[in-house]
Amino acid sequence: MRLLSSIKITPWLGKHSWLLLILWLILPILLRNRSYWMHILIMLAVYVLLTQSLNLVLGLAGQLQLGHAACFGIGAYVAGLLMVDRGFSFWSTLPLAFLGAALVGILMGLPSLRVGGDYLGVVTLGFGEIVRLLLTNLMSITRGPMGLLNIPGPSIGGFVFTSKIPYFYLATALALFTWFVMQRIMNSKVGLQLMAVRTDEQCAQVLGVNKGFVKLFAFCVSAAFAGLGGAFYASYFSFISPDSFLFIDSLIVLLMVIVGGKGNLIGCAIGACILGIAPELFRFLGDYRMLIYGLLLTTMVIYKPVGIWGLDKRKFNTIRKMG
Amino acid sequence: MILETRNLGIRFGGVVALEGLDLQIEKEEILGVIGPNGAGKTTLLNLITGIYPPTLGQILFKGKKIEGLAPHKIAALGISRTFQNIRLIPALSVLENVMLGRALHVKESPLDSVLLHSRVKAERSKWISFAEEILESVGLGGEMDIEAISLPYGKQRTVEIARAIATGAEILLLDEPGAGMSKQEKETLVTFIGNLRKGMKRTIVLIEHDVKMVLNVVDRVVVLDFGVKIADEAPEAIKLNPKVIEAYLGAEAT
Repeated sequence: MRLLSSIKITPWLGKHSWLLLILWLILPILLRNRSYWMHILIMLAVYVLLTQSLNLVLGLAGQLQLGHAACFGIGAYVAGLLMVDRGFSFWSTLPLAFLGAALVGILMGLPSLRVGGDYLGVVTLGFGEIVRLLLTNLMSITRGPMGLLNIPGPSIGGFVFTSKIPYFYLATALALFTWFVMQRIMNSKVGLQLMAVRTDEQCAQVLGVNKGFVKLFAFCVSAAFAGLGGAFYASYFSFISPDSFLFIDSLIVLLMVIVGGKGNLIGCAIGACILGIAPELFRFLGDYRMLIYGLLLTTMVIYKPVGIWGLDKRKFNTIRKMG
Repeated sequence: MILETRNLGIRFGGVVALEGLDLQIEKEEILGVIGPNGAGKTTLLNLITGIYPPTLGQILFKGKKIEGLAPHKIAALGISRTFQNIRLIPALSVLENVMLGRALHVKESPLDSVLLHSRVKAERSKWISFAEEILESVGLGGEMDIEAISLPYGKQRTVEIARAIATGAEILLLDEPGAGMSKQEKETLVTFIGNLRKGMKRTIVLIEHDVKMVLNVVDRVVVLDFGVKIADEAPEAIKLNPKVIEAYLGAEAT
């Protein structure tokens, strides 16, 4: 990790991050639309969206949220069911998936008003399981474990998304939108208040922070953006089932945030990319991949608990420049 | 009178931390609260700021009852404090820590933060310059952009006080601000606290262990011992009060 920050290129990239963005945007051309790699890129964008949104609760508010995949799943099911059963267009389901997941986020955040730390982790984990069980057992609504088939793709005018290229740009747009909103929230009144709640709830309260409100806000907005990602996911895969949104998926996103850097949006994106690509590169290892995950997490927690690009790299007083 | 407690008390299980406390604090006075370890000084601050609800009695701020309110509501009414062990927010700069103190007066909803329209921008620049002015007035103008917890101890204390001032509080409750400071740092602090009242017209409650330091700066001293008020008088008189001497030095000394 020391190597990474000592390389001269990182500060240079910091100033010219738009170059990275352009590189990302022309990747489909460079890869000549190879389906396998395009799929990985699309999933990377989804992971970036998920880490950015989870970071609001985990990195900024400091609340252990182990049910992020459930919020993602709610978004996917809201969008999928509306499209399949009610004939909604993809675009009109986006705001509804956003709102539906936001509502679930608030419910999920309610226990955080009473419990914290590991206990909250257990509660959110349980909540995630409840969501999965509801999706499995409410057969009449969700089709149960068989899943929801034939979810249509988005279309603009007469152009229907079939190849992976429009999906790639749509996923990128959603991820960037999430990043943009999170960036603004981090450097704002509520952002500062959340950082205070993370380290010292009592001190925050004495300074006039309504800790209940800011925590619920974090859970709500975090879930809402995950829901947005879920809506995309449903339409991209055209098939969803309760098994697509398991605890292990929450855990993977959590790992991405921790390895990349809690509380730092760039770190979250780095974590999403590394842990998003790594399983593909180590595919030959089969199930031993999980071993690598565990090893990586242990190493990180021991040697670099702030993450690759974490809070220690936070720029001070960004709020001044934004204001 | 700006703050008053009537028969204020709290028990933790069988332990009486504070009992039957009647206290009157006048506007723009500096009140010292002293007492040996475990006398209930910090408990008093925790009750006033709403961290614990009292088991007995009332707290009146400008004639209105505040006991039982949530801490953030009490803060909004105009009461702020510092902590015995400095509690600045790490990962935030000096400026951001002070801005955090001011945040409760900033009209910026989360939606405003995302849209960042012109009214929010105006509100923000007011917010930022307010915090900058406070930091300059306490002599930290050159250190606004560094992480607050990387400052030396004495300066961290100043940032914490600046943050409490930024809340716009009329009463500042300072919990052992001199703890862990050198003699020199304490002298600077005493002058600073004296100036606070003169320049900013705040009421100050100063909790201290260091009796000498308190007597130099306060108008009046309240002495607590085992949760009970044993003296409430001018600093000159306190040194001669046999009860106080007993509490601090034991009965033999009288």
